[in-house]
Amino acid sequence: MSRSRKLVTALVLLALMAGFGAGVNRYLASRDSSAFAPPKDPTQTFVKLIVPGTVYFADDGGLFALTGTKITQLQAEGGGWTQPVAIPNGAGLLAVKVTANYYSDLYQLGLNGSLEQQLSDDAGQVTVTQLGADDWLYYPAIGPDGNLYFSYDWPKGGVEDPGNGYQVDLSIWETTLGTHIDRTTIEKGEGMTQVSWANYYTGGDVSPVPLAGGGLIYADYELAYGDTGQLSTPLASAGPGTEVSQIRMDPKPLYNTAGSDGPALTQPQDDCAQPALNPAQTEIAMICTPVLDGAPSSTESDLVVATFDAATGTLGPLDRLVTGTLAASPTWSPDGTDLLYLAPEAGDGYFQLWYLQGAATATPSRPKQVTTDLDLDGSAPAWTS
Amino acid sequence: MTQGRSPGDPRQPCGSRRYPRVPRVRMILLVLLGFVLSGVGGAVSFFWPTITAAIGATGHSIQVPTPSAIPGTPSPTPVAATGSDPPFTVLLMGSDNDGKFTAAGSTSGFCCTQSMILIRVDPAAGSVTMLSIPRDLWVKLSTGGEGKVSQAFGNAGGGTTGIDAEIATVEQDFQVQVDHYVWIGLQGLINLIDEVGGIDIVASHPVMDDNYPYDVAGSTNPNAADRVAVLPGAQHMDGLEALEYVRSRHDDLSSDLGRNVRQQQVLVALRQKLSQLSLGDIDNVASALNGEVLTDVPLTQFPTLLGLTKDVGSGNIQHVFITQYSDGTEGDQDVLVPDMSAILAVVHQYFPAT
Repeated sequence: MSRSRKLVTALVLLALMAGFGAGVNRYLASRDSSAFAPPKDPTQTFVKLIVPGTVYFADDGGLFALTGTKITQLQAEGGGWTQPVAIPNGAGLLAVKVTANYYSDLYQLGLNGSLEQQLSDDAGQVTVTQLGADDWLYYPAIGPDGNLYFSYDWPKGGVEDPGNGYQVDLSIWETTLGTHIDRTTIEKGEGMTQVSWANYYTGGDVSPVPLAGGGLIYADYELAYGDTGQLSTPLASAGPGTEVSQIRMDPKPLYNTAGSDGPALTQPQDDCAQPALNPAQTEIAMICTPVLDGAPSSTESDLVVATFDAATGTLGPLDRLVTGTLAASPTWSPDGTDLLYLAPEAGDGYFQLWYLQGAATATPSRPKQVTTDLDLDGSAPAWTS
Repeated sequence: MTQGRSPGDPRQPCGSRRYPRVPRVRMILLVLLGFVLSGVGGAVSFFWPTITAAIGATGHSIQVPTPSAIPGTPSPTPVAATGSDPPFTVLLMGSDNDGKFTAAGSTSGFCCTQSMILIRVDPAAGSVTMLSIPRDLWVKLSTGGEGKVSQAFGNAGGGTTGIDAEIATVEQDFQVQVDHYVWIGLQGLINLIDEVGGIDIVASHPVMDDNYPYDVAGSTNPNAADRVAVLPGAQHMDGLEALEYVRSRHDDLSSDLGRNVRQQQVLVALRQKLSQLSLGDIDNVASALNGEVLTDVPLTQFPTLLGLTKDVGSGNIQHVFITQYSDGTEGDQDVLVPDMSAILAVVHQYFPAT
């Protein structure tokens, strides 16, 4: 081999070696887990399954509508929007807008996302500088009577009783849709009725579901340890600070009995919350936390369905339809046969919409993933026909 | 066939320079070596942030100072590095590490270990036990005198010296051996969780707080307060949300105990997420933690720990909480007065007594 050929060969080999080193570097870089890839703009994502009707959902602070395979932006991401609710008869949407670390307000929007009306004013008054002057409003729901139900952090100890300043719990209130909500109207009861009284220092009562015959279902929170310090057997290893949720039904006559809880529909060890009632009011879908090693799991939550008798306030056996994942926020289809719920995409923590056909039947289908690459915030979607 | 040309090769120009022959096998080995070195170079360049972060975060072995002895208790013994098979104990500590304590008179800028979880890992059994130590437990401190169990860290000036003091306090009061430690600051937890893409967790109840410390995420006043509302139920939390969830205590019936439970919940959720890490993620995670984590866990043991997180099912995680105490006051401090004999009985069910 000539000297020049040797030189060329050496240079080629050196180039190959350098390329190999760079290749190793890039290969390692390519091995970062795609599970941690950020979500995408919802309007640019792929919809895997068509569900009937239109689904309104909150994604990373924005509001979106899914119809067929098309996702339309109603309010831009990063706006603090969450918990969309459909107003009956296509009259628009309600949604909560969160100003992080300060307050949240309720808005009425058109179905195209246009802002129609600010229904609450929960920013603190300018003369009051303390943070306790701000308020949280969450979990709007419209009852069969057209009234508005919501969770509000009033009464709270800090403002009324400085010695009790750490108490900030959500209680459920009722008013006529369109009535302006703020601290003053709430405090004075001007057009407002308090319908639940939170257990102090538990975070309070959430997820009101108004019933056609009056009253409502909601979720409250309490210590897994009772007053006696004893735990039921399934929760024998739960820590002393463990809180669990129960779904309660509060019939109308109890509304004005301050401090009274409605009778419990579920047991503490079931740790059930996020109730959703089908239109016929015969089935409740909910999320219950399985017990692992004597304590509620912190990484799994089951989608559960049970029959419900509103007249007697009784719940049938809990039927765990989806297990082994992190299910959240079920919503019945307008005809009450199917369910949408949230759960992470396989190998990815961001919530997607999942569809469970025939949820109220004896043989529901296997869950099917509807959306991809979204970042749903955990609040229930609103599903209209 | 021979390589090169023979001396008698008629094509060899007369008088031309003779090059020493390199046997083919040696040449091939040289080329292969070149490729190997190049590959190693590529890998080193990829892991360079990890290596530099590791140098900053690890390498400090536990130095247990002479403890202020508790009568009847054995002296702690220096710990040895553990192998992958025998069980070992890790003390996980979380601290505020911002300017508020300097402003309040602390020369170190550190206050205390707001969160302490003693973790027993049994690789053979594939099990993990977590024991939360209440921060206000009134005990003898390794730094001298009595105080809240969490105060030894700040008393010793924080940093690795504070960690040593905190470990010595835990070892002497609970009569256990701490094999390794991990200390993480507020921003470190945020960075870690953000780097792994957030955690998936069931928030056990609404966590509401009108007096939450506003001392991270761009705060310029470490004494400022913030409002927090972490809604209940299954959700995907980013680092800041997760920190709010584990740190808030004001609107909790069980105060610190309640957040101890939430801290263990987040640890379990984080473990699940870490179990999805691949080799290529380690570099980014190390970069995110740079300066916000101190640990003596050797780099060589990280893969074992990561592997272990994959092997431990969520059903093999034991949660233990100390409740054997009564409320009390010491000076102007609200404290928890321990029933040490009862506490030790619980601790030694899960952690070998020294």
